[in-house]
Amino acid sequence: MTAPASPLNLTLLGWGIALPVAFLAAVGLACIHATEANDPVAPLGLTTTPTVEPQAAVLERVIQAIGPLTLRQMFYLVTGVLLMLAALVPSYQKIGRWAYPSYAILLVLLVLLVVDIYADLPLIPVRNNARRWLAWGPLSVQPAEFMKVGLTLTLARYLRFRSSYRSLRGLLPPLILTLVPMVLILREPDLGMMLMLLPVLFLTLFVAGARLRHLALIILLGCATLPVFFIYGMKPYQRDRVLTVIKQNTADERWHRGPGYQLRQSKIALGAGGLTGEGWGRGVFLESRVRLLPEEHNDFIFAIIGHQFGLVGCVLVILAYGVIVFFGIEVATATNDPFGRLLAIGVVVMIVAQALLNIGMTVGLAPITGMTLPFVSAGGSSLWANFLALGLLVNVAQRRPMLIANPPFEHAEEE
Amino acid sequence: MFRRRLTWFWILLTALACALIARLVDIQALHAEEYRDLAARMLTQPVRYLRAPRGSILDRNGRVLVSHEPSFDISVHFAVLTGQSSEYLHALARELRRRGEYPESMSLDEIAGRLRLQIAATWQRLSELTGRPVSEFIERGEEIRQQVARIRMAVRRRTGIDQPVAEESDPLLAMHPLIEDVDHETALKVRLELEAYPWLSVAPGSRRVAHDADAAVHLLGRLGAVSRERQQEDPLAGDELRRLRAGESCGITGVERLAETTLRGTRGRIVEELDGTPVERSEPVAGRDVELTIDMELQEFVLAALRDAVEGTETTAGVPYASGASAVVLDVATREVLALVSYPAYSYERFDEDYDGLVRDARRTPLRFRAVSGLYPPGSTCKAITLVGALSEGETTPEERIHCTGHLLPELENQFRCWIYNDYRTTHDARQPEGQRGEDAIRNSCNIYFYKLGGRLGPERLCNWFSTFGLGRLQGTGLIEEAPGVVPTERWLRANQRRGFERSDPWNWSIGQGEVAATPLQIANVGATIASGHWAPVRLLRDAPPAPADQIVKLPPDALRVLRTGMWRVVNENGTGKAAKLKSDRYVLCGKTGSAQAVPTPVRYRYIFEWPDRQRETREAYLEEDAAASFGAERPRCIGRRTSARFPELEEGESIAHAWYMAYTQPASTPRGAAPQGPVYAISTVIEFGGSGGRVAGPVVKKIAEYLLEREQ
Repeated sequence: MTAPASPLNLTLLGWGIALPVAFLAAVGLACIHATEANDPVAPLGLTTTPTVEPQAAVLERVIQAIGPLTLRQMFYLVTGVLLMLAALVPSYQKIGRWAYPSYAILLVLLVLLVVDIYADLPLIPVRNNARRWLAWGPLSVQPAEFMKVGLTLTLARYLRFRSSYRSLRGLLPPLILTLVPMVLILREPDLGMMLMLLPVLFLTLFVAGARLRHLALIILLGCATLPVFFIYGMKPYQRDRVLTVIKQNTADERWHRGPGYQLRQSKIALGAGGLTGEGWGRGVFLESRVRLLPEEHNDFIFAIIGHQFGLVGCVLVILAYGVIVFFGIEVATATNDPFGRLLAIGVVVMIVAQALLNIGMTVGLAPITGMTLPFVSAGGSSLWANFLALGLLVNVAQRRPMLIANPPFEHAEEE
Repeated sequence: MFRRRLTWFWILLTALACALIARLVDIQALHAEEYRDLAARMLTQPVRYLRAPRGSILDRNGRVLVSHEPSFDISVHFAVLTGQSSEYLHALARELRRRGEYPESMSLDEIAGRLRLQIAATWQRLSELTGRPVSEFIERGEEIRQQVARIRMAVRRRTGIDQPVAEESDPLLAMHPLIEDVDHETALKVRLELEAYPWLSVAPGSRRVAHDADAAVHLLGRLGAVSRERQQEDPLAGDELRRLRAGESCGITGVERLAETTLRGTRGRIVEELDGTPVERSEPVAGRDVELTIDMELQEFVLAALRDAVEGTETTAGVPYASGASAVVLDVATREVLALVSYPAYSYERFDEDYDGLVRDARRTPLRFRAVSGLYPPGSTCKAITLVGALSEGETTPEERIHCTGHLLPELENQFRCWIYNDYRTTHDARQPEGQRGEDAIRNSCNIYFYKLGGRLGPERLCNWFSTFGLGRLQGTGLIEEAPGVVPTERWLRANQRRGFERSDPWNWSIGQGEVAATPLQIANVGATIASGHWAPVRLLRDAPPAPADQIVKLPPDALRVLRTGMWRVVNENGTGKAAKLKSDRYVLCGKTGSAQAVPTPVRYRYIFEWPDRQRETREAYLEEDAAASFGAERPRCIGRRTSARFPELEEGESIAHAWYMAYTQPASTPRGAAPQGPVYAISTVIEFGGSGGRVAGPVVKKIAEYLLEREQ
């Protein structure tokens, strides 16, 4: 029997996902605007904030008033929502058919980025010694961000009808599917992004029903290679970032002015916000003429949220993600389609793992990895990828297929 | 199972979220105060310091020798200086248009273009006003760009973040000094014409100026950049407002270094909030002046006297034999240094420009502070010490007569001879057949007498007596240039010449030849010691505390009596020092001459270079860097050098000597041999390669003594 989406559920589900995301996007926009409004002093040494003269072109005035970064964020939000809506048009099953091809295309793009290290290819700029973008004019996209979505799709597709992953050998293909892009992304280099693929893999497998001891074994093996990786695979500044977490309470002032600076400033910003914050656009970090927190509008925007809106604001943001998770899981539960279930879980993991890592980074519980806060941080490709993923989730929510077989993934416990 | 897994999934996420919230509570609730404090502290800008004027150096009569004068620095904004100015010019263009200096209709690009033209004109005009070529500005801009790039790299390495540093954009720090130490007139002109341009500013600075002080240029010393070592040694390192900071100057030689902590002032301090609101401000306090014991008029007189002596000595091919000279005048009672002169001197003002020439003047070495660094064999002036030593140790008596045999060793006619045998083939016995007593030998400066005394004393005791008279140690000026000289103890011989005492040592040393080496300051203090009866350290600064009693060394008065009698006779009874006999009938001079045989100084070397493939080449020059200059970018290693030319160039069998004169003045009424009372001055003079102490150095001492005593009236 068909189960057409009942209006009540869809509305609830839709709101359940749209509201928190809207809230997060709004908070992000507000913070970006606040940090932008008081940018560091122009090289003239003027003591007044540069004001735009009334006679100037209207456009220039508007841009100046709103702020270029804010405008950019708005642009990506709007286009992201469009992307999300576009992802709702075809059924997710149809999209699923494109899982492998899209994975392949993204893989090729990642390979191109690596090839650019040896042979200079067009459209690939080098920023800060990293090749992460494909750029054309003012627009640039990061293939790695979309790889997250691609991997989610691919894993869901691969695992949907199998049970092979219940054996150790069966875990190999998903592992390889994940490791190959990981290695490519690592070469860019982009350590943080690379790490984000792992939770998607493991939690998808976990929820699908892979045996715990197998997963544990793989994780243990991975951990065993960590020390080697730490010493040989990481650059000094990357090592410093890990050390920063360990050394964050040291009394060594020079550490806090050197590698430990960003984390220190982040904690000060959060702490100074206290319980209710300093207010929108207020507070030392926003009123000073010198940028006190590096990357305050993307990686560390959570610290700025805490600074302006206090513990209350921080908890609200975390709750917003919690609501997304809740509804995502509801979708997964309510859907009987295996692909849909895994897709839903994959999307949730993708968004939430990054959020947790980012927030953890700002409070000193995780090393600084350059991961943005989904929907909040200023970003281009990140916003697009997340909205796309969101679109897929809502897509699954909208279309619950007929129940024609046993609910999937119901294996007997630990055979 | 799926549901169960989902539940676990849910639990995992909740647990992580709770961990984060717990941490946030910790930061934002439990430690909020702490963090708020830290945040408030970040509001203040880094501390800015105001430079304190440095103290002046004065002579004993209050005449200012070196002082700090205000000067001006012309600074240019970093962006313009280094040519990376588009961003800056656009921002400037926007501001100028806003202020109405350019019409609204002009685009930023157009205005920026105009500004560029103005900048080019600025360089041109600046060059005309200051007389410096534009290429110099470009070079300096490149220097500054590299400096800032280094700073930026260092910050990037430290924080992992690449962002512009304050030196590039901060309104204050981005102005870098292009031309420093500009005089008032030029600064005014530049200011009037060019200060309207926001990328240029004329800021006050200060510089060290000498006032007619070239006669004491070695003594005064110079300022130089603060180095890491000086910062570590700085006794004021714990005082934030007084310690040395990188980028500043401190005294590196002479009195500037000696009295550094006195001369250095206390810097001022400004603490402001980030928006410019002042929080704290303390004004700088100027450094204290330093008064030297030096009498500058005397110093100038002595320098002139030395110059006449040097330029008037026996010449070869129009070049005086003598390459330099030095004189020291001490007030015996207080051991204050009244004059500490080294010739040749050089110009304080033109030091930087002249430096390359000065350092390559191998013959005259004008940079050497001969008065305290010049090490010479003291020659016959040491005989004074030998006599006192022998008398005190009982190796001779005042009445004992010793014969001058022309040459010491009967079998060796050519060695250990008396000077009178050398020059005139006769002996002192010819005039005094009964032999000479101590005072006679001093008057005649008979070598044979002292060879014998030296032999009796032996090398060890002789060295002890040298030390008693202050040789081989610092005399207490505190100057870093001061050299302790050489007293060739057994330990010294082993360390420096890998030998022990030899038979001939005491003979050589007794007449001040061989390894013994002393500075003019030391010999002056020997003279003061003889006059007063005790050795004491000298004083260079007016407010230096008197020497503690345990540093004063008393000498046996009886032995000194004999010596003083002899020294009186040297000058006043037709002795070797008669050229210095004073005209006055109120004062007399007692002295001891010396003609210390010396080795000509190297003025050119042959440097040996070796390429990696073991090929060798030689180059001739004075300085190694000049020798290596002819090699291109690839430089071979220098493995050694040989002296290829010396000055003076001597013929076979010819020898030369430094002309020494050690003396002290005393009232004519002083009983023979007694320690003089009243104003007593000790004078030492050495003319390098001057020849005869009596003939060449004597007249100088006479001039100095007469000048001194004339002023007494």
